[in-house]
Amino acid sequence: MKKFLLVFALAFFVAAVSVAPASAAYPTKPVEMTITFKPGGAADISGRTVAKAAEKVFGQPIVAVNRPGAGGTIGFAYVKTAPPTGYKIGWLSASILTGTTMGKLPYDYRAWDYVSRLVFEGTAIVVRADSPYKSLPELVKAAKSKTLKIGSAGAGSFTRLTASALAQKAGFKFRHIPLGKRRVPSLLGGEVDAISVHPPEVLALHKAGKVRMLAVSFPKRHPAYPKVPLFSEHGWDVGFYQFRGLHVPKGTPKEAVQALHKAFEVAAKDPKVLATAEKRGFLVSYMGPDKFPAFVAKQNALIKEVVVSLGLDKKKKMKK
Amino acid sequence: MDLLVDGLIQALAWKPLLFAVLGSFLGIVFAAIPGLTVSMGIILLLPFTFHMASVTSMSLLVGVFVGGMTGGSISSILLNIPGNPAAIVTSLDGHPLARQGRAGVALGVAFFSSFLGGLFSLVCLITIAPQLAEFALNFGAPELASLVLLGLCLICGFAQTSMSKALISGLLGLSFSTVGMDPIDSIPRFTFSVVQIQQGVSFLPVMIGLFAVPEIISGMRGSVVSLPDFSTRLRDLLPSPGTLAGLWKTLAQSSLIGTTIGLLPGTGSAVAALLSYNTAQRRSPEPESFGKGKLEGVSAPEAANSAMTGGAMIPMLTLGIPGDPVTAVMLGALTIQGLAPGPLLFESHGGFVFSIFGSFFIALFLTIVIALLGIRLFVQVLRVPPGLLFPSIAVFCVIGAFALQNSFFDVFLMIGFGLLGYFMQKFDYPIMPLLLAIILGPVFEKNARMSLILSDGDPGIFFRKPISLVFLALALLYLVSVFLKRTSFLNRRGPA
Repeated sequence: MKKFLLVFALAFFVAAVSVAPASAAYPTKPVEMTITFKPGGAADISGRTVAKAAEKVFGQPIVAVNRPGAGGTIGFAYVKTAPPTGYKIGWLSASILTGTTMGKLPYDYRAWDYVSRLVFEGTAIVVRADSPYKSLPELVKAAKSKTLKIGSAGAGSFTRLTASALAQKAGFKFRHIPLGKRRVPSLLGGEVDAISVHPPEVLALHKAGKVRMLAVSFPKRHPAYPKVPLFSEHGWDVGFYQFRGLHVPKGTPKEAVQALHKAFEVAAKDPKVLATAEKRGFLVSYMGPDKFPAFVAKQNALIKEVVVSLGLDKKKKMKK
Repeated sequence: MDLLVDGLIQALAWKPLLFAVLGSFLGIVFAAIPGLTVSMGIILLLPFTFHMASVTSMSLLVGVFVGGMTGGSISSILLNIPGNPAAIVTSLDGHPLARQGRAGVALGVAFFSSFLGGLFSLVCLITIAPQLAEFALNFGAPELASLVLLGLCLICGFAQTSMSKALISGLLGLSFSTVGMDPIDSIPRFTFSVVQIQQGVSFLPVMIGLFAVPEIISGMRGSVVSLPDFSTRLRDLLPSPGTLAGLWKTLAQSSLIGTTIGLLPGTGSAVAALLSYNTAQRRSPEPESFGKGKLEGVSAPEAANSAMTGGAMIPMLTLGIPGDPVTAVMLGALTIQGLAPGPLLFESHGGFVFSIFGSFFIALFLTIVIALLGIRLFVQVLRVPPGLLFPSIAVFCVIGAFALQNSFFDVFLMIGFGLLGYFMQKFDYPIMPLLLAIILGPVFEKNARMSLILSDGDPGIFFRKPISLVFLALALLYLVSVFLKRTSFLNRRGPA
């Protein structure tokens, strides 16, 4: 009986080994996708949902692995140095552009190959319900006569850059408060006049009438908060958005990039992905490897402009 | 009340109940195995919750949260290796008790204190959650900075032999806490252009290394003192009503402190445990016996860190603001289910909220039952030959440090700090101040600097806010009392 089992197992093994190379060149084994933020966060949830949907077409498991730390730079550096075989991929966000332009990573955005964009996330300017500012123009008008305190996740965060770009377009100055994780309590507690934040973090409070989203920087109005106007509707389009997508180490084979593109293009239409997008307040918007690299380059130019104007590209902070 | 019963019934359906058992059990196990942490357990379990019904997934997560807060005391007491930051302080009196052959009593008191602290915070959560959440909003950056400064001052209390050695250890910790991306300007400090160092000295790998590695080294050198055996009969483990009654003051004040600290995002369980331990010590008629094996010293931090769980869930459920890493994960799990926590959750999904309360209640009960039943198993650890025990702990430490962020850098960090811890202990430097400074340092820096940005550089902001002023006064009072005590101690000894 034991011998029989052994023979059976061996036969199975031989069959598996001999079939594998004949079927396809890529993928023949599971792919590891690095998520550069902590489990349970926005990047993690969109990344895992999309990867799960892409597996069906891809034919191999896409295993999400969190490598958080230092605003995403740890994970981006990991993907940069991974072997370009197509088996190590990364779930990138616009943070890769802030990280590289600010010199937190010792290379620029061209150090990776870009596969596809899947997701846009908004950035909203939010005030307390009892705030005198009922709309973005009112806030801007007030900000021109006195210095408002506007908070964000941090000095080099995407939300801060969006607020700063808005200030430049609309022509006002503000005192930036890097609130970190305490951004929402700090707004509610009255420490700051407004915060720049990704909408899912305040959506429940907005619906309950505790805070007011004045406007959101987004390509189009989102069904989860349809009444909130866009920056562009007020004529202050900052031009760059928080996006998420797929990148791979430089020099990854074309076949691998195409196979990933095919799988994730289908994933972008998956009903589960769309349902999660609706609940989590992000927007699914697919762009393949033919256009995505140019899109990244353009976003990089816009973000770099803001970073340079704020003096964040210098290693040492300049005095105001 | 009807809602509460409904919630309990929902949480008692077989599937949520099964996962509550699983969660409590895993929470205890992850916290109790040296090297593994509750954070790691939650990270590993989170992806599974994406595919579960909402009540079930919350049962699992709440179970791990509650179980973990209790389980951390087990390895703290038996092996002097805390299973989570919340249990660091527990080892101060817990391990000496174990060495005196009273490990059973220490564990019993720890479990019951955890249970009662958790129950207290649950009652707060059910009855006055919205009011407490509003109250917590009064704690802005200056208040938090002063609170954490008070915590940092309490580190002096860990000077057993030499104050200067404790201060050196604490300052070393503060220096380490400056490494990495600076929290205000995002400027890399002391990173030597190495990308990995930007994340700074994360305290979980440091905690694993500092406590476990010295024990492993002394264990392998055969210099470990084996603990006296103790009775594992349930009757001997249960603290007598008299013991518990004697602890009621400690339990009450610690539960209050724990729940309050839990309300404040980003302060952490270590502060809760530290403050309540210190309060118990100051209020005690015999403060000098703390640190040598006093039941109050076990009860205070355990009640506080368990009470923190309910406290942390208050801003998470009522405002959608996570109070600590575990509730942040819960928030993620809830939103993916389409249940956005916030003021409307109670109105739109009131039944669901009460099912969470139900799961919490059940998790508290399950945890204490599992912990008490499991005690016979846990103590077997003490009978494992050191040649098997310590290598396995070493393996768990490497796994535990790696799995937190899938990072080998963290493994080296764990080993490096472990060696540092070994030599510090060898030369009689306390390691507790080092670790607490690494945990509290960044919180203090961030909030102090943020306050100064808010006030445009005016330090008066720390004194104008009443809550902040109270904490500063307490800190000053504490330092003065320590100074007076030590000078009178030296004077008494001096002339002889």
